[in-house]
Amino acid sequence: MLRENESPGNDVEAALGEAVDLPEDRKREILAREATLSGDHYAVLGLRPGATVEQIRAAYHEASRVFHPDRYYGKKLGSFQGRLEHIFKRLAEAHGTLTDEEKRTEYLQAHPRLRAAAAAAAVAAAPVRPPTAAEDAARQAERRSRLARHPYLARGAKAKKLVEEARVHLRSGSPERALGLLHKAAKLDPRHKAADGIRDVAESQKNAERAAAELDLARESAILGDAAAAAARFRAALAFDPSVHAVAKEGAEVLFRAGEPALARPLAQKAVDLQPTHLPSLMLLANICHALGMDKLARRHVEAVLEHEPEHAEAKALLKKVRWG
Amino acid sequence: MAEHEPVIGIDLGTTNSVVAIVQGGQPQVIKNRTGQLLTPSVVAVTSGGKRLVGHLAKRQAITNPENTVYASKRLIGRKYSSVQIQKAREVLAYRLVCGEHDDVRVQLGDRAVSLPEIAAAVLQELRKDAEVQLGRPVNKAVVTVPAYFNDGQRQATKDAGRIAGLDVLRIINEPTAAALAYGFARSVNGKIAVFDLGGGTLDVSILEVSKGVFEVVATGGDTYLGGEDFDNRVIEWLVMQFAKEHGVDLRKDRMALQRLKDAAERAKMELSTLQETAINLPFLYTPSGGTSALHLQATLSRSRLEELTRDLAERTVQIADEVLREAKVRPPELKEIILVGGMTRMPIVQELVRKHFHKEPSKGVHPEEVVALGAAIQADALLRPDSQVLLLDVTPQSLGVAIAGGYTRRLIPRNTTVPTAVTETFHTSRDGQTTVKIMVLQGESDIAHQNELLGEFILSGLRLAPRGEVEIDVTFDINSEGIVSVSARDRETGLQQSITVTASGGLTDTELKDILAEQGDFLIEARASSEVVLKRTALENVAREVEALVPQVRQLTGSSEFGREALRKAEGVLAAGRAAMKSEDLILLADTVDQLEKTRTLFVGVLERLGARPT
Repeated sequence: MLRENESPGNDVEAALGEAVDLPEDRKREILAREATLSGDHYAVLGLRPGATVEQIRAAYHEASRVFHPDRYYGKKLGSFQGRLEHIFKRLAEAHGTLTDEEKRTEYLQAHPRLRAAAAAAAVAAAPVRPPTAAEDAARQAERRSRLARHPYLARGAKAKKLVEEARVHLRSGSPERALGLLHKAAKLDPRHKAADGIRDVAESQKNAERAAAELDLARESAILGDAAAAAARFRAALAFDPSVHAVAKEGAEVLFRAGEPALARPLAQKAVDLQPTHLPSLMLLANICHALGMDKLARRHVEAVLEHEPEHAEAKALLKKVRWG
Repeated sequence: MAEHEPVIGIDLGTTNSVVAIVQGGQPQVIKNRTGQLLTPSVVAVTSGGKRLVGHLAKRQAITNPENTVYASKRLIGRKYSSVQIQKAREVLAYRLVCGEHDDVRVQLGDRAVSLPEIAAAVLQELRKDAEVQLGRPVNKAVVTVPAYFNDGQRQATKDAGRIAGLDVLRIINEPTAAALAYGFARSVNGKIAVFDLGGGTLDVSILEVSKGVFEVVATGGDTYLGGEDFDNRVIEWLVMQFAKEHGVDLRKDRMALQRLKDAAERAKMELSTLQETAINLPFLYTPSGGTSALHLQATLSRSRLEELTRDLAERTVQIADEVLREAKVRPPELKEIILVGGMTRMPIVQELVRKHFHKEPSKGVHPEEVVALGAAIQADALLRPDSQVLLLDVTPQSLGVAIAGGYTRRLIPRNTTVPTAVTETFHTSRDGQTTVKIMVLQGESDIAHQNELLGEFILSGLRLAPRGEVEIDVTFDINSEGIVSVSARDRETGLQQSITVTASGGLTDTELKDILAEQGDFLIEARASSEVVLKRTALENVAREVEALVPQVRQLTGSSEFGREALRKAEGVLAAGRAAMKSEDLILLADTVDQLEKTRTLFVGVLERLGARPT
């Protein structure tokens, strides 16, 4: 961060003597705050390590009221213009770092002494100015927890908590655990509406995961030369994610090339069903049918290809072969 | 208490403008000389060469469409070659021409008028209105702009003020002003969202308010989404209806288009209260060949209007959602949602906002006046010594420098509270580099030339040394007036250079790209966390692993057709990886790493299933 040259002590006397549009006590206040700027982020805000986010925000707003340059707009400020800007930049930096969880953690890790102090003060945080907003929040939290102990409400609250946890798992990509928690939540409180939406998402996420896993296994089986197993895996992948045209086509291709047209045909058919106008899929299905001796079917598919693209060379060639089927 | 000299607040809107002032501690709108609160942001030149502003200009728009300028705010501060301007040219009834510096000008009579001059005409009108009302001269103002306006657009608005003889104390964001006005009248404490959908723009801002301190947490929006887009949907629909019935394309007729525009806007406004409205435009089109004139008669229902514009309304809510996410604010944390701008009167917009945020939006403000009132409050707060109001504003867009490879290194991300200063250390990007070029960029793109170049300077006289040895501190500083200065300092010698960024350079994308290509040798390199370096290392590692697996896989599965094919594919990916290794292209590097990782997983899986231990 940028630090302008910190003013040495005798500078202070000179500053107090400067003829500017500021009352004496305000000048002293500004100079006193300027002296804290080389300290840590808490000190700059006039707080002790471990202050809560509410306290930090309140201290920042309170200090802004005094040190933001806009408060002295159009006034003759002399060296105090730069001092105010400098102070406010540091206040904003401290506030920005300490109220953002990620940045705060990083900052505290870089300053072990502060981290220890913050941990020690976590419970008995001592604000310089006791902010009433924080007290209000504490009182409210206490009331909520008392209410939550009521047996009827407790079930709802517990269900809600489970759903929240499920949401977190869902976001971190473990739908399986999310579903487990949702199941528990539904038992506690079957009326919890928010759970339904999350469950749908969790299930579709889980299915997509399973589909991807099956697809990996299918490719493996294919490389290992186990066509039957590969076919089963491709089908399984499709069962979990029934809308993936690319999977169906890949499966059909792989099996057909492996000399297993009978296994390949249902997958090719599926690919065509999913995207009836995808010409490579149609051609693949036609070739598979031809290989199985089902020339009538093959001819129908080839004709479909030619309907879209009358000059399709491969289709024309195949049509010659299956014309009399 | 002594009243300071009068300072007005001006909401310079896309369709209408409003002027306000704080008197006796109360903000109030100043009526114009025709007794109305809103002054249309319309400027026209009559055939006699007379300049008209406001209602007079709007009233004669239909008979003089080519010399009547409306919605000019959508064009101000933009480059003539930009996509937006080229798109606007197709729908506007007046003519745009290219200025000397790729700036936009409007052809009015025989003059090409710049956009700040057009805006100045409106500001001048409002200033006169205020002077008549107050009986005193007015020389100072706070003017609002959409939160999403970039430096060039803000500068152009300031220029407009200067042309109108006004000292613009501050440019503040419209949603911020709205929040000021809303919070000034009530005692709000906590987070509030302002959803401002006006004639041309959507702005969303999140503020944290506590006892008179208004801290802007985040702003965002879209400069090309507003009421005019909704109107255009209705116009398109009417044109379609007319084409079906008469086989005539009305879009080629400028006068008809102007009448359609007025009718569409009126119908849209009426449907905020009515379920159905009739649109009648008699003698709209006179076919050539002496046949009788054609009339347009149509009935538009609210549900049809909503059908035509639903996607636009949904987009507004999506943008609001993005702003919240960026601010790390969850919807339930919001104390209030304030709707601002005439377009938020539309029932479908209100309904979507309510549904999306599960909260009844506040309508306790007059959406068309609130922005001007807020501007007046900020003006008063700046000059009044005992003011309780303090606005902590943020930078609208990110600021950074161009680094080697044509990328951007962001030093001040957008939504940073001003004033602010940041220093980062860079180093030379070539062996023996004695000169570095600092190019100051504004915008959100990682690709340098897709941002706007605000200014550039050179720091020379560096020590002859291998790449990376000479270190340079680059400092960005934004003061409370919003003025950006950038300096670079050689850490060894203390040599220093700096600039103060004022107006925008007005360069096009391609020009900037060319400049960057030319200056490539003189750019600096980011020291820490250079993404490219990280990705290259990752690529190297995973490529080595895959290479090591290949012989084993070949031995075990090379006899089958599948195995051979998988190996062929892997060779291809490895070749691509080797080619990408030298690249600076982050996306290409990331893609290649992805593919190689997939191959590795596949190979390891195969080997494990065969009972072999992958080495």
